[in-house]
Amino acid sequence: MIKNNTQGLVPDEDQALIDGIKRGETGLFETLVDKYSPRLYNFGLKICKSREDAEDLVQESFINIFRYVKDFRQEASLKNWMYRIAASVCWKMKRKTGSIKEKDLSLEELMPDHHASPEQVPPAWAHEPVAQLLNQELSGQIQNAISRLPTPYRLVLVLRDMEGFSTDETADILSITPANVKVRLHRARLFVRDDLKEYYEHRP
Amino acid sequence: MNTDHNHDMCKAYFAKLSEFIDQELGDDVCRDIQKHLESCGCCNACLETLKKTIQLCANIKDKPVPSELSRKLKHMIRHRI
Ligand SMILES: [Zn+2]
Repeated sequence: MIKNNTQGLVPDEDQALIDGIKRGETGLFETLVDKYSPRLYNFGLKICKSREDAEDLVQESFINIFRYVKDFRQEASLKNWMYRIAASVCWKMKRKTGSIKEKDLSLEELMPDHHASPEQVPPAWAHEPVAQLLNQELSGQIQNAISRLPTPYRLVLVLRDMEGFSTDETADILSITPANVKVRLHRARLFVRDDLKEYYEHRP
Repeated sequence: MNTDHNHDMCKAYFAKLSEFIDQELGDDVCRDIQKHLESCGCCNACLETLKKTIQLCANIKDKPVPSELSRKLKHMIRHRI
């Protein structure tokens, strides 16, 4: 965790907002919601199984954010702290709905068999511009693949590759080690890659 | 073709491809992987598809917050505090 040596606080773009809320300016909660509900809602859509769950996740997260922001000690940025809350709400919701044991992803299984299918040149889609590839159908395909990832892997992939957090930030948000983030991220990416490969190989 | 090229080496490099893309590896390892990629079509194809996968994930468009949810959140603020 990056800390400012003089105060032990992380420099924060939301410092004025934090200060105001701590002074009791509850009107600023609305500013907080306006600024961060789009982020948390889209985070919810990517990590939850349905739109309804995503909406529940946002509401439950903000209930916790409003409740605990007065005690927020700025050991992380406000934004990262809010994601940490949302991630823990995600786990809580998952536990509540009954935990189906999720399969672990093994690197062995994700590794292409060089002898069986020697793909020696990258397929055409690897060279096409993203803007050209990413239509509604493909977006749906990718989101579907992400939703089939085991939760620990899905959270890491979404935070790192979709929400733009660094390895260290992701580790902090999920309370896991940076090494663990890297391992999970690689497997999650390979899982989605395999799905895309399959998609392009079987397209008419 | 590289003579010491074998499946075990591919396996070792394959495990590090994400870190390679994210530039999280030391210079030495990076150079080794770079060299391997030049001689191994399989690993190179793997790298290129992985890179594209990452780009695609990063570019999926966000959806707007449903107005009903915004309304609920504002209602929550007014009645909880
Ligand atoms: Zn190789």
